[in-house]
Amino acid sequence: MRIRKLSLKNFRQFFGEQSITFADSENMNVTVIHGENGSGKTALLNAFKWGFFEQVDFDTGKDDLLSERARVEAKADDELEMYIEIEFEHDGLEYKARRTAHFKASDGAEYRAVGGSRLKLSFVDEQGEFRESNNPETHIDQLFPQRLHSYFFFNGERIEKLANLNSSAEIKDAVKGLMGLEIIERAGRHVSEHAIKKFRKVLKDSSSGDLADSLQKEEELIGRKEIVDAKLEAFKKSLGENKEEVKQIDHRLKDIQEVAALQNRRLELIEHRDKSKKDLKELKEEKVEYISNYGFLAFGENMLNCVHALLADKRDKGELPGKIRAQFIDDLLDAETCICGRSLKGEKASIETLNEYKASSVSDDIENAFINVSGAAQSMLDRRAEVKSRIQGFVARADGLHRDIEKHTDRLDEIAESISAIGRDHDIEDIQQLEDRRNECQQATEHLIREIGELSTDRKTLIQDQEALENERVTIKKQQSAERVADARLSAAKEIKRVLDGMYDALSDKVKNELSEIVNDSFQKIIRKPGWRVHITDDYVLQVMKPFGDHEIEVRDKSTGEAQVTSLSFIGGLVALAKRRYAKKEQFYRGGLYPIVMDSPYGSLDPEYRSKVASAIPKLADQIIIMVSNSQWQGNVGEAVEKYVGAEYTLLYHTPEKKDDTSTASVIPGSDFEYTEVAEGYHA
Amino acid sequence: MSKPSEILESTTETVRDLIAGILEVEREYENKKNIHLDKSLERQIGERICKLIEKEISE
Repeated sequence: MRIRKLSLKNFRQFFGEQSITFADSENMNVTVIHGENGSGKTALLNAFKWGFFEQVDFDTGKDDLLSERARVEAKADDELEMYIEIEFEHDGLEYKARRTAHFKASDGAEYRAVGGSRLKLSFVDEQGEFRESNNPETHIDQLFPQRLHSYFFFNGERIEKLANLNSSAEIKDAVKGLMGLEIIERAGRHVSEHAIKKFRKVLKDSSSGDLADSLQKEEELIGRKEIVDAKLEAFKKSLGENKEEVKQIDHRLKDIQEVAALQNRRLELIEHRDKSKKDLKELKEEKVEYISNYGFLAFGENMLNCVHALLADKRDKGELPGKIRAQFIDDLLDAETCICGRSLKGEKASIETLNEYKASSVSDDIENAFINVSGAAQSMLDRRAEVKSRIQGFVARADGLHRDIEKHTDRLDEIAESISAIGRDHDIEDIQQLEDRRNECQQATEHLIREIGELSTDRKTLIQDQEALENERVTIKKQQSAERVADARLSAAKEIKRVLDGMYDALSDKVKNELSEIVNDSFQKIIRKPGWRVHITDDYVLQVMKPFGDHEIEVRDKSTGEAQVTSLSFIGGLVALAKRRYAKKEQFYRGGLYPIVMDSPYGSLDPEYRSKVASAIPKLADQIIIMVSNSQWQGNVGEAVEKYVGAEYTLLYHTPEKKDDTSTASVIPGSDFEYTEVAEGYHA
Repeated sequence: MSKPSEILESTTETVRDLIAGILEVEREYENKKNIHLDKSLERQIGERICKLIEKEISE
């Protein structure tokens, strides 16, 4: 998608009809819109949101969208029109979306909207014919999914929230939506909800009692599994919210001087305890893998000794390996030459002797088996000797980690008690309330983790029961024709679902890993902390890591600037990956081309980050639209972005306020009311 | 986790053909409307998927 032009009429500060044409050339892809506070930068960002999706994020909501000057200058009973029109290109077609609302004031009262807003979407199709969409809202959503719009139209000063997202659902949705993976997910859902359901019913109706009974039981299991899945999802969501709240409380406690030191110590201990827990988990996995591979050796002593003795006996007796190979004799007979070089032509007796040798030789297969079994038996005997010590080693390391976790937990309990005591002794209500709430969240978290564990076990059992029923049906199926076909169709539908689900998971994983790399590349170009990196975890959480001794830990307490850099890297990565996929035209996931529209992207950054972010922004997407104030633009930012600027506008802000300190040409005091004009060029 | 290509290879050619057909149906509808809001359209897609499977696996 490339945005060609935005036209506004009577929208917020923008009185009358005004328009902006955006830059979209390859090397000059940035449009800069300059404006001081209150001039309408945020209104412009919201013009896109309202135009496409009828959404705004003003504090006043949707009530105050109509221009103040239009209202004042209107005659009694005038009906006022307000619209946003966006012209854009998508997949080679040119579109025009116009959302219009009408307002009227009756009996001198405030202007109110007459009915709702109306969206009209027209385009020129592949045959060059002008067409109007019958269903513009859903058509727009199809071209540019509404749930993803916050990744492309955003306020730079609030963007850091993305980096602090605890819930992975938003990131997962973004990845899925932009890469076109939902088509596979949807196909899986349709197969499950329609095909599997239908063929199961046909099979049930045409089945004998046993089979019908088995299918009935399976349906019940599926119903129970759906309930368990819904509970699991809800618990996981609550768990995420609880963890986020604890994080927020920790952050606030750090800012309270009386407990700051204790709180910092608590965060350090949590990091150490989490590291021990992680090590313990990895150790358990290592132990399970080791026991799976070599645990049987603990019980195989007699068998191994017996095999070893048998093979040694064969070797001692000279039976194995054979003294002469059958292939060697065959080669001599083929060449009609004795081993000493003498010709065997006509030497019947010698040939007979060679054939006798061959008959007594051992076949290659037995020779190879003997060599392999000898090697394997010896290797198992050697390895068996170390099994016991390895397992003891695992147990000792696990004990040590358990002790560490226990020690850290005790210390954390003491710190919690000390923080509460400080709150009580100094009568600092905030500390007590925060600590109490933290304890509540921690208890709720522990409860949720237990519940999730139990539900996961239930779910596993239900899946096993379902598989058992499927196996049972294999044995009781009747061989009637209709039943057989219905069964084959049901099996095919289930197999299709299995493959689609597997494909979806694998492609999501592939996209996630690729995105993780791209996001980190952008992050590395901007972040100034050595060794820091960002990645997307298996649970789709955007995680920043930093070096900590000989390992890495998560950065839990990012500064606003660091969080903003993380978020920008994520959005840039998302857009870049969508573009890469779009160019490749892959079979299963397609990506797309998306612009980025940012209000005040440099707002909360210090000068060094401003400069680095400014250099990175033009490369984030094919088309960039940024709204900036003079103070944000002047200096390094302007210098870094200037060469990419293909279009530049200034919002000339007319205000009734008399500002003595106004030093910019773009703020024009002395007007009767507030309104903004869009002027081409930069009026500093 | 298996690669997408490995998952596709793990099944039969019939299932692979059916999946290609199903995705074609999904794409056809995707270009027309935002389907998750329209139950009758969802049913229509479901029926077309069933027909594809019935045609491929018949007596």
